[in-house]
Amino acid sequence: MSGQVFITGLGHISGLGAGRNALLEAIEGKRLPERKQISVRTSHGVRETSLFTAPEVTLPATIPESIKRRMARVAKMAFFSANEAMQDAFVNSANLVEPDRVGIVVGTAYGCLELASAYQRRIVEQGPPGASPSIFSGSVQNAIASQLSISLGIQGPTATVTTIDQTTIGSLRVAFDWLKFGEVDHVLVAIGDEHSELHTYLAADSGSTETLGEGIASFVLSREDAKGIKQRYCELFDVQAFAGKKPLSVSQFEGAEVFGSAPWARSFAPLFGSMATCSAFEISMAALMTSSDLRTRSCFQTSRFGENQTVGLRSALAEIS
Amino acid sequence: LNSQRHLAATPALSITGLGCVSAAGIGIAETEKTLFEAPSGAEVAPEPPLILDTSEQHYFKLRSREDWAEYAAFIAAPGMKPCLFAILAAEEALSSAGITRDELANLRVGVCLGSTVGGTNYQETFLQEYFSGKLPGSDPLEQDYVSNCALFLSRHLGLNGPALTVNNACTSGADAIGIAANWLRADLCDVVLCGGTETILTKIYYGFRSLMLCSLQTCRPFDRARDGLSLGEGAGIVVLEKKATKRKPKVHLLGYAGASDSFHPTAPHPEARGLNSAALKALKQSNRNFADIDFVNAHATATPHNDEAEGRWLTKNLSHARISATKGFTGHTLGAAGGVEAVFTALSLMHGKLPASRGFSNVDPEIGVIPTLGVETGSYKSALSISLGFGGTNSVLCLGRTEGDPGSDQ
Repeated sequence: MSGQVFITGLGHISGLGAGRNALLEAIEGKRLPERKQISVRTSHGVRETSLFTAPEVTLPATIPESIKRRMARVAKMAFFSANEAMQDAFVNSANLVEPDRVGIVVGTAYGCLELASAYQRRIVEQGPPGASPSIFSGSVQNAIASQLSISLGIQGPTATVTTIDQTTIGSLRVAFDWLKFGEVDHVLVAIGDEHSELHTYLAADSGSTETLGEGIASFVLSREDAKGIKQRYCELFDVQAFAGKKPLSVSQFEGAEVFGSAPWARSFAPLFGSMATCSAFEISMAALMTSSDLRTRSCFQTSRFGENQTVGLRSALAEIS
Repeated sequence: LNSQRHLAATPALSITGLGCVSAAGIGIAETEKTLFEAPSGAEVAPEPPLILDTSEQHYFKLRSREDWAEYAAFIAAPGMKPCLFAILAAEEALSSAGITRDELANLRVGVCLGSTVGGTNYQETFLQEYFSGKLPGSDPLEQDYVSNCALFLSRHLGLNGPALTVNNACTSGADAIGIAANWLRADLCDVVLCGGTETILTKIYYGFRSLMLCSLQTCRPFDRARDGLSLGEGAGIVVLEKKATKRKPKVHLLGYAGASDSFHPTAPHPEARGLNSAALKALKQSNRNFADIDFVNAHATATPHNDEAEGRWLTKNLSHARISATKGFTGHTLGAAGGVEAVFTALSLMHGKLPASRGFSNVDPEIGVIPTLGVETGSYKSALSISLGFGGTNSVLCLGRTEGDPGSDQ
């Protein structure tokens, strides 16, 4: 296991808007998401809930019709975000020199919620004949990775990670290892979820007061010796998650020096809304900030059910200079 | 070859424990009996395996057992069944490795499982009520958080390593083993429980039927008259460790690789582009060539397109090797298949026996593959287990009886 891994491309869509610039504007305090308030009939009566909704995406004509008609809304968001990250990272993203040296990791806690609901609804309403082959094949959880692979011409390994609130950390770890062990030179990582009518109902019925979020944060991760890239945002030097009895301590973390004196912290979760994969968006923000500040070490930690998750980022400016 | 420039032969990992539940048997002992003592496909007409209950559903269902009473809640909730199967297979795997619960507490133990439905909960009754315009309670939301199969197994066993569920359609189980291998190589864990687990939900069954991929008979892999797959359920889990362990390896994981067809949402690349790429990378990692492979556990779903693409690739590259197609015993267990068939491959290496390719009887001249017709014996040293999936995913595991060079008995 050797070599460094860098974040070389970023893409984004969420309730903040579409594109990386929305993240930069949010960091500068110039942009906030638009909150949409809705009333939902639940088993407990009508309840108010709120959403951050990502903008609609128009797909380019280059995507084959056979793919387009199967794409879920979250898959369209994934394409927009992933394509932006690829264009950001590569000198020529439309013509990858070695397509089998690029991998894809999609992280999604819930997959194609809307399309899966539509598929299920038709079965409930019409019985087995209601099962639509195109909706079925578009709603399976690895459909997003498959559609990205076909649309972007990527032929390396693919993985769809679906581990609820450990999805982000698991996705980045899979990509990190592929790169460290030389299986590929680049990995496109697209992480996020969509909300659906059914999910909104469940949240409202459970009494959740959180604003539900949706979107996809995309990264291109590259080996240090990878060719054809435009820039490095920062180095990704550590990705770990451990459960229960042996959580990572600060001293185990390579970037522990950030805790040595007055560390500062910023949380961007309120900008993206509640979703199991929200940490991916925070890592995007951290990458953007780290890219512009040589002194910065970024560390992300969260805990649910006792798990501790750590992503280490540090500036790549030193390597470039 | 240039695309493999950073790949090098990597140290083998030890598979020290095996656990499996499927229509071929509840546990390794029953599975071995079914695989290695069952009559061949050529001698008898395809029919459901003896230990199979097909009275209610059109898929290869696990036989229910009285001693599963403690798991009644799982069996009642279809979406939780992958968690049950994972527990059964993982506990058997740990037992066969000789790892006690006390030892587990002192090890960094990861869980990496593949599944297509074990990632989210599925409450059929709730959905029927909801889509019928009723207002059911929101308990399923809470269940989502406990039904993820890798997280569930990790918490059930009180483990402290990473947990990850991968959903790569029918390659999921093999991919989970490959991801776990990297965790060990990166020293994230001492031990990983890895493989696949699956059940067949009605929505999945209807989906495959809508795509006209299901046979109304028991599947006939590689057969000229094959007309589709039989779905199945179960779990196959292995205990994977670095070789420096006090436990004796049963077999070795020599290599793994995945690749994408980048071709079509549901059909395989006709020239098996992704499979070829994955196989070459897995072989390089294993320090093996095609010529070193003694047998292949083929994906062989018995759909016309899969078997044609895979079979032609096998004929072109591995005509010297024996081909075993085992879905006639288990059905296609989707996300579990890579794990279940890794266990089958390990058993064949351990015992020097290959099962019959149940359901096959007539050669398809378009493919040319003649898989095992009855139980075969041999001194098998290296094998591939192949998985292909919806969306163009391809994964290849290379397993060896020994960790040394090809031909070595050391």
